[in-house]
Amino acid sequence: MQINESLLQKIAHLSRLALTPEQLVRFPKELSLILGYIEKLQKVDTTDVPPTHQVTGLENVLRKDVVQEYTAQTELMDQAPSSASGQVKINKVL
Amino acid sequence: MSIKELHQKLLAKEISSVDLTKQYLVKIKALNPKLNAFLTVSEEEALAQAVLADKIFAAGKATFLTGIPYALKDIFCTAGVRTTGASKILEQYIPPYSATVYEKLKAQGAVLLGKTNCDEFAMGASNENSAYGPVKNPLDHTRVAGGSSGGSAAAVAADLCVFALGTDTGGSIRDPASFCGITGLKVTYGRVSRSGVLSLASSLDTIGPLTKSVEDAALVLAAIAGKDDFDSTTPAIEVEDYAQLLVKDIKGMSIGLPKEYYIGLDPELKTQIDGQLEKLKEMGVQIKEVSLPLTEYAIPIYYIILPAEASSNLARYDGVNFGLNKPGKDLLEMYLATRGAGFGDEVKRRMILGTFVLSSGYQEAYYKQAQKVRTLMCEEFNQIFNEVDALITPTMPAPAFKLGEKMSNPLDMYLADIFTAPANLAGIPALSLPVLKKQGLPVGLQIIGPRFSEARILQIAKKLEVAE
Repeated sequence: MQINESLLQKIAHLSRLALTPEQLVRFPKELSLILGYIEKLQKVDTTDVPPTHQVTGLENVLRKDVVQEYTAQTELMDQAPSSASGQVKINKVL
Repeated sequence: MSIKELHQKLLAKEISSVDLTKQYLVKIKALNPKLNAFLTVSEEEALAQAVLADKIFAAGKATFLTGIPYALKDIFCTAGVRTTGASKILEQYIPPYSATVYEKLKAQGAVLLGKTNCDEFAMGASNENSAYGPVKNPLDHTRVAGGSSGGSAAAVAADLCVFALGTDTGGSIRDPASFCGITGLKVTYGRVSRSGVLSLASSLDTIGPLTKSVEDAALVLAAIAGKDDFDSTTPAIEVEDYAQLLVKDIKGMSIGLPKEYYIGLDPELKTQIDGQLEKLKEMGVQIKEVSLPLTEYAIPIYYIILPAEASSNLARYDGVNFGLNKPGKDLLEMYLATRGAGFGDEVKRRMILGTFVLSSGYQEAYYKQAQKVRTLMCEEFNQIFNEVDALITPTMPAPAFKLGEKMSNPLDMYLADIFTAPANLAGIPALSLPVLKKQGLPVGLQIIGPRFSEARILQIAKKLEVAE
């Protein structure tokens, strides 16, 4: 499986990543090399084998729905690149 | 000096926490410019914590970790102290909250000296992927410190702190521990809370200690382990008194040597490992050769699952609520520009790989297949631990390589994880002990055990540890 520049552009866009012209040239080669190595996984017979999502075996870890006061609003909002009236400001979404 | 020795000195008032902290701050000022182990030295915070530690001593409530200066890899959120993830996208980020393990160490009065350099978002095996420059190996400044917890390992090795915490997702504690000649422990997945630690791969990430000795690792582990309401992957399994348990005899234990880890191994290292095994036999330990045929698939599985999970975890760095923001004519442009500018090459490569293996048309062949082979690998380990109590392998195939040596082919760097990644996939603990040498440089010996067998691994390591 090769990742060519066009597929790379498509995936980069899905990942919301702008790539430099230099990366657009270099990444297809690097990624194709990696994919080539990864593909040896196809050799393993996984018929009837369930996938592993996590290794703890834990399920439905619950806690009581108790509200706790949050007190770091100032510190939290200080981190926003742009804010007004205690709200985060961003580009138009809709 | 060990944690217990420092504790005695502090208890006996031979030195105060404040003076001990000042000593370390002076050392960091002198050595860090060369090593680049620390990204942030939190001097004010450190001294404030040291003052509190002295108060705890005065009140007679000190524990072994009270007043002990340590460092945290810069992916641990520390409220009020800059946390960069070694990335440009978080260059100015000051977290409004703290990682659970930081809170735990603070509660005991341990003193945070600062945040250590690492590979960007913990992606790497040499600490050359940091947006703030590589970390130099304290034993040879032309070589890498290892990664991704290179800064933590270098800081401990150069005695710029007494201990440090790192994370291990595919080998990121054990690899730099091996390269810098210190002890590094990868815990059972779920043993230590990941709350407040910048996520890389949620099914693989673990948090653990880098220390100068096995006993120190045991002491730190006991302080940070345990169930946490903020991390639902931490089971309610008892945290043992690991330091107390170190003295336990290992006679009668059986240790397996998985042959796949020894194929083509440097004969010098093999001879030294044989020497270590002789010591174990003299202690009444049984050694047997075993086989883990799926070992060769660990890297392919890992480099599908990790990028997939990372691509999802790093989606939050979008210039909206925190971190770098590069304006754009619309939301999409802002996302592309911010993430394009904020992430380094390796991070971008892995995110693209991850998005690809999860994408429609490819998910079955790549991601699902990787998850299935992972199941087989877990079963393989389960079966082997019915036969033996632990496994011994080299941690890395060779000592620290030169800076720049593996940067031209990403795949070369990925293969560094060859002996360490399997433990992460199976969620099992593994410790790297600095008892091997090649060309005068350290190489770690790896001890692997089944889930929640940290006590056992530490016991074996203690018996093999070379007395200072």
